[in-house]
Amino acid sequence: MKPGPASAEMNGLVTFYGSFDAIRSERVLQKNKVACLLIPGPRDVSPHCGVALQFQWNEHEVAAALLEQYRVRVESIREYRLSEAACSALRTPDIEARRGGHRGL
Amino acid sequence: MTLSRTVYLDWAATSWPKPPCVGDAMVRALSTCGSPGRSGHSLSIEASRVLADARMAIADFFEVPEPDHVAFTKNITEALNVALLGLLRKGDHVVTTSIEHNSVMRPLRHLEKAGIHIHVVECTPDGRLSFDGLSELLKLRPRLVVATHASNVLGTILPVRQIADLAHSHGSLVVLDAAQTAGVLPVSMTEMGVDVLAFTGHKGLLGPTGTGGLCLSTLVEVEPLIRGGTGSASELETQPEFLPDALESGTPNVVGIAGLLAAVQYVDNTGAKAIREHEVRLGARIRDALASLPNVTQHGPVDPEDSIGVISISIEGLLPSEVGLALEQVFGVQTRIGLHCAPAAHQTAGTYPVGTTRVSWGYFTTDEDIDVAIEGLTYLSAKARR
Repeated sequence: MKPGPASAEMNGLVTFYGSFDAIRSERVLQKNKVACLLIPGPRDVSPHCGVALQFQWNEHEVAAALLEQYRVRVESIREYRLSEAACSALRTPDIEARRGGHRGL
Repeated sequence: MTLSRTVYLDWAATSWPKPPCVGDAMVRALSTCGSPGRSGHSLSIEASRVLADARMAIADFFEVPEPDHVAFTKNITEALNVALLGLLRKGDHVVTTSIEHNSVMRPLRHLEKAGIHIHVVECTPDGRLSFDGLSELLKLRPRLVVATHASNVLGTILPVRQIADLAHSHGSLVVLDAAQTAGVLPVSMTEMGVDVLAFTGHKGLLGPTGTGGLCLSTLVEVEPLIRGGTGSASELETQPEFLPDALESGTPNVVGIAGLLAAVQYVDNTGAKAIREHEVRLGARIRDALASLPNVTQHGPVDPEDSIGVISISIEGLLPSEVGLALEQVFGVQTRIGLHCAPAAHQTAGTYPVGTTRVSWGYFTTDEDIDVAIEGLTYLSAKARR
């Protein structure tokens, strides 16, 4: 999964009360082949946790069922898109070039 | 996500990378140290030596009057809890500032429910303390004043010596939260005149997570937060009253403290002056560059000399979470967004509840790292204006 473009395209979001639940959710969804990505938690949606989990909204029923099945505590599961400005920034055509361009550690 | 380069600019959360000597010392401790102070065999004695050396190194570094008045904890939050819960009693007044971290505010709000009176001195939006406000509240003769040495959100450095002098003239103790300054600014208990100094090992001191502590003046007696085995006074079922044992129950983090000892020696050898000069220079570099961006607001002091290696910014048209996301995904720059566990500081700065993007740097941050961050923020500023 290419994280940059994927993040700009994703339109579902799970928010949490704490980061343990966020990491557990990522594990559960990835194990069950639901594409997802941890991102900084948008404050306009939730003040609680520093991270949230993006996924594709067309899989929200599957995602919700899985998280319930594994008894992961979530704050909310909702449709959510990044702003146009953020999507534009993430869809920059030279994103791959930038990734290859910096020196390694 | 794996980028070919990580530009780590979240030093206010924890320093990274650590000096190689830190990991080396920890690996060595794993194979040479047992449980300290519990037994007379060589592995136990070696662990006791590590703890003693670290305690003396910390005492020298912070100019603590007595090395046995240094007690290790798992982090500064625990140290602050020990100090606040161990010193304050029902009916006491306590004064703090409006830029404190939740490591101070949460124990205080907990104590408030137990009948302790909390008073907050308002700071200016860039984090400067009102001495008129402090003087007014000190008329209440508070048991103590607790303050951060520097804001983790705004970077603002508070004048600790002046605060301590004023507090002492009203009979109040001073508890200092040095989370952001230990290792990057001169922190001397003696020169600053503080009664309790709380520190963390994993930020400016460049040590591992899981280390920290509190240093007490000889005039302060703190009630322990927890009680248990100390390896001393084993014939008694009551807690020993002498330091540091009174405040150090349970087997300590010997491996972490071994790393902390190596880290403190590294910082001491490098010199506070060199570290501070480096951080101020980088601060000027990023502040100057961001000043020309029309939709970027810098929160905190304008002069990098008034600040630690922290800058909080807002970009009009983008949420901090989006700034943080794009900085990492496009530029490999790692920052921290949101409220930084300091809602009061954001209320003071006028950035509550959305928060900010915090860029923070340290001794191993290079000019090139800062330039990548500037490039990223310039790019995002332009995207937000379209």
